[in-house]
Amino acid sequence: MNYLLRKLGFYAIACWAALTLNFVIPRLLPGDPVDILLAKLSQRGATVTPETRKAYATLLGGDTDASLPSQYVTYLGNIFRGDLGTSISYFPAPVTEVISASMPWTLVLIGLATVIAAFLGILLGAFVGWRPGTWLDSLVPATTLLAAVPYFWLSLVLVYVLSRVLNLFPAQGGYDVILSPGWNLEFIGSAVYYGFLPALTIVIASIGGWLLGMRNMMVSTLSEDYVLTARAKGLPDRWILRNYAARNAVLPSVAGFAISLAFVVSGSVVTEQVFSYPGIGSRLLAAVTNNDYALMQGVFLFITLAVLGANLVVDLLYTLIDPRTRAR
Amino acid sequence: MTNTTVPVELPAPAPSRRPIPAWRMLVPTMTPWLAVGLALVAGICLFGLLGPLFVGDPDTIRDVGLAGPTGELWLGTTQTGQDVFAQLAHATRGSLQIGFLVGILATVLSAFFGIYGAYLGGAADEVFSLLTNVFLVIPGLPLVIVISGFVPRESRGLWTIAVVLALTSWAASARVLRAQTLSVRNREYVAASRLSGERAWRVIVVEILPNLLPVLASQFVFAVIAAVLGEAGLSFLGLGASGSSTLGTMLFYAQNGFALPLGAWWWFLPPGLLIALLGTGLSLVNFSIDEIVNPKLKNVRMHRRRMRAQRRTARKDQR
Amino acid sequence: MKSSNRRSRLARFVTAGAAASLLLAGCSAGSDSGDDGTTLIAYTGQAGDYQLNFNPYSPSDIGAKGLIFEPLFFINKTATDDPKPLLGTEYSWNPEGTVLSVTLREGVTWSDGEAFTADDVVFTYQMLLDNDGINGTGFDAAVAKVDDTHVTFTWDAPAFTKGPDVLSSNVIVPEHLWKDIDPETDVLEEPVGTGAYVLSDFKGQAYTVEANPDYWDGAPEVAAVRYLALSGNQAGADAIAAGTIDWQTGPIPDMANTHQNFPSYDTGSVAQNQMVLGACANADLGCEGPQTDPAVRQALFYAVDRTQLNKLSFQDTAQEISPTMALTTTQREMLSSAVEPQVAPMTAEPTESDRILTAAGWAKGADGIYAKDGERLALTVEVVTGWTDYITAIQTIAEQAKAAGIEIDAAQSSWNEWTDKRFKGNFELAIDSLWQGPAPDPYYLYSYFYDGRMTAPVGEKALGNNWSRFSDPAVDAALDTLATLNPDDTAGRQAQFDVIQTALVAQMPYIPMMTGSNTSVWNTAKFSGWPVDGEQYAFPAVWSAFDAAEILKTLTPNQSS
Repeated sequence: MNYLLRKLGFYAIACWAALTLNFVIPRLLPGDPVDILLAKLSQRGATVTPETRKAYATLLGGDTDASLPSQYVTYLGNIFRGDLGTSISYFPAPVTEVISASMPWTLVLIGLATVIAAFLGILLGAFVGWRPGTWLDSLVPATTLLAAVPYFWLSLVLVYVLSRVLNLFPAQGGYDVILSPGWNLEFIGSAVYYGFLPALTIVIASIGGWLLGMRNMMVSTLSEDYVLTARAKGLPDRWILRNYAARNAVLPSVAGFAISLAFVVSGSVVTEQVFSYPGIGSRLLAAVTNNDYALMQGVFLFITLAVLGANLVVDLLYTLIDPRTRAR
Repeated sequence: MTNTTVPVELPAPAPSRRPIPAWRMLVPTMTPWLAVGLALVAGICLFGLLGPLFVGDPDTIRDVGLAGPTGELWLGTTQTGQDVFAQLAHATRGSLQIGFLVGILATVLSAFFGIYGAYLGGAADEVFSLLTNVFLVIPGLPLVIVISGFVPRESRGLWTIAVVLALTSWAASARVLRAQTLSVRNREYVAASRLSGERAWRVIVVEILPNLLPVLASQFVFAVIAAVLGEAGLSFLGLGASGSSTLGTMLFYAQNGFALPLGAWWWFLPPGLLIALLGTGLSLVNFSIDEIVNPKLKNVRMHRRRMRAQRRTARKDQR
Repeated sequence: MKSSNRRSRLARFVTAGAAASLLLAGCSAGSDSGDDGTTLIAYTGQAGDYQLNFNPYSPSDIGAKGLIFEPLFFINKTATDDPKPLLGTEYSWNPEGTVLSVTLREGVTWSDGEAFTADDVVFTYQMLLDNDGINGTGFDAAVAKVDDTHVTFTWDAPAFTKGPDVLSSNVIVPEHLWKDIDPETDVLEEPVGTGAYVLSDFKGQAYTVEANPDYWDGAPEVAAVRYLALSGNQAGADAIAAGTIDWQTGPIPDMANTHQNFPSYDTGSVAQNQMVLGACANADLGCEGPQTDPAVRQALFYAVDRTQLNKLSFQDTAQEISPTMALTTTQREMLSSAVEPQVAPMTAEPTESDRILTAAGWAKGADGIYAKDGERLALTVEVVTGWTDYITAIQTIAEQAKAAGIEIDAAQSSWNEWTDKRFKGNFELAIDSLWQGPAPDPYYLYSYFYDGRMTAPVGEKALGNNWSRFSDPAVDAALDTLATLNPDDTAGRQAQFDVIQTALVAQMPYIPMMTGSNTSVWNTAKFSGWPVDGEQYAFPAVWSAFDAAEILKTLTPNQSS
């Protein structure tokens, strides 16, 4: 119990430190949100005059009069109340609205792709480790090569081949814009169709890591004494694979999987750029280039909570499933 | 058919029965994969180091615009008529600089926070663990822009990206090192060393570090791969090493110059391929290092070798 | 074997999954991209999903201005026509230029059926006066209703130059709905306007407007327009190649041969944005570096080979530029005859730049670069990291300048930092574009960028758009005089333009490069009536709200059989 409390305590401190950093870093960004907005507007052909600057300064820059420490206190207080402020780049939409509009897309696409990649990778890795010497062995260097290719380069080439040349999948968008978002088969079907290619690129690019990790652990587990004993006892191969080898081998992958799932929340900016896919990554990029403090802080908050939460869960879970880590 | 659980008599192994020296255990055995990996890495490093000395000026513009490979310009030109091959050489150097810089920085950081913290134990370990957790969560994207603003113009570009990539990537490998250190720390010879009053740094350097060397090497290689890929990704978003030439920035210009839609494969494919080959080479090297970290992985290779030898003797018997 | 069992289970799972997704895909494949010949699909350059906001006065308005809400008049900046009547039919100034009277159109209704009257106009302009946050044009007159179809705007001092903004930059909103909302924060989910289109559908990835059957000029023939959100220029170019959009304004590969590559499409460009290397030019306000010497700026002006620059960096779409910054197309009459050269040379003139530098005391060093008093003529140009066309332009200019003995280096930084540096004056040169005002009159450009009172010393943020720190009292006085002159007084105005332009060309605080084009790519197979050469009735950019509305109202679909 004491151990549990200490763990929770330290995670709380880490969370607080991360939140403070998330407050400080956006404010260190050079530039002024109003200037940036004006620069953007002038690029788009709008006439920008000193009056425009005054107007937008009034509109957007209301709360920068308060001193930094008091802003910090307000920020912490607002977080606990769930008030994440108003976004500047999408003024006057509240940050929670901006995030909730795009987060589901990210969670579904990147989340599903991560799950599929991990699942397939671990499964294949278990096979390759179990039966060395089959053709599956060549999967290891093949998937490693795919993981070594820059992700956007791979995506662009795949889009060019599968979409432009062969016309199998749409190149852009999250769904057919004729349809209205809703829980109907047509829309979901369209979303799956449009999401297939982006998901495919993520799976191809990341499966190598899972495969390799699982295969290595599998090989080392198989040479453990208890596996040899089990074999000598005459237990069937499948029993050994499932109950002795795979269970022990999958432990590090579980930790990695939890962390990867947590990082899904930060989105994949590159995927969204290449495929014009809706998601939280491009919102973050827009927030950074527009000095949109509130939106940046909002997204960082989600990332912080998700990753630290996953870490905590894994830490606690590990002491349950792997008794070796308990002894200190 | 006789059961296959008992191995068939193998041809006699190499006659040497000398004890294998300790350092041999640390060095990976040469396999075809390792040879390929080393060749790739060495080749690309040579290209990056010496290439810029021999190729032309990558910045000269020519009126010819976007043109394909010719006898003189091996990889054609960019949209402003610049020599792609020359750019490739300089870009490789830039990417290698970033890769190894980040690799070293990240490894040093993770070694310090992972190993030292785990060795000390107690409150120090908790604090270091805390720091690791915090750094795990820091968002890299705005960090790039913020740090860019602070670094003076002369050292900008490569260093900025390198520092940011190092800062955002050391945390993950620190956790791995910490776990490893925890298990080594409880071994008998380490306890003996501490009991006999050795100073902390000596214990770490002499007893613990050698055990962790393979893991460190493996993490270093990972860091280099991740750095090169990470830099490419940042460049694609337009946040890359400003002012310097790396494979990532080269891809960025190719992308914005509409290289692929215009069919200018000579501009778009080579940088990506080079990154892929570098990454593959490093990964292959990492496979061999993994065998040292985890000697049981040798079994895969040994198994294959044994099977091959079995089949050979079986065939010989049949004749 | 046991493992083959497992493998076959895996195979079965994978096949089932693939079949399921293909099935679902098949369901949706039935509905294609809604091409019924009268829906125009446009891309404005919106990067990332739309956030609903149809408040024409909000900085995040996604499309209400022009399409759904209209101003009093439309001013075509690509020609020198009179303003086109929209909600206003006539306007006139009193001789002193303090009262602007506008006659309103009769028989106009809002899209919810209410009648449009002078009350709406008065309400709109009063709203601007009452809410600083939305008064982007700096409207400061007293607005009064004369009767149901006449209003007047009254200033204390002559305000001829403020006229175009009042007449064409502010849209009229319905009093009966807007009197109850907060104009600064309301996002207007159901916008009601007088425009040719009404909102019919909104989702994050696209919104659609459809023709307003009760529009005062008759419903437009393009029945619906859909605006897509993509991820950026690259996506837009890909969409053109795939044929999924009908109109976008942005670079595509091989722009000059668009019609050959994609026979259904063609391009239209108008050059109105002067690309410049702006210098922190005023040593008195704290600028430092070789660029504070006007001779250096002039030498750079002559060292650039504009033909090569155009070919390599801008795909031959840029046009000539005048060092007076008056557009050589619509503002040629206001080009002072006393100024030399009238148009920037299209090829490099290194002898001229040599002459200028040597006359100012610079001498060529051993490395081929000029130097004076130990200071080398080496300059850095600030540019945003992501702007590849500008970066290639700087690389090209750098090579050309080297031949003339000037060393140029590009310093890339993030957008945030670049904006900061420019406004605070912490730079030597910066590459950027200037822009026009609400009417084809160089006065506006001069007042934005050359007014000495619109700037600030280095280290403080410039008050207005004059980021080069240029300050000349003669120019300021001329600008003030121009504001009081009647637009018809061409002789009087020209005298002031002469003063301004002579000073500009001598000083060149913003070194003119070329006039940049905005090129639109549009679908000529599906629609006709686009503003092409000779029939330039509007600025052909999909993101220029009022011009786009005019274009959409003029287009006719080519109904294929």
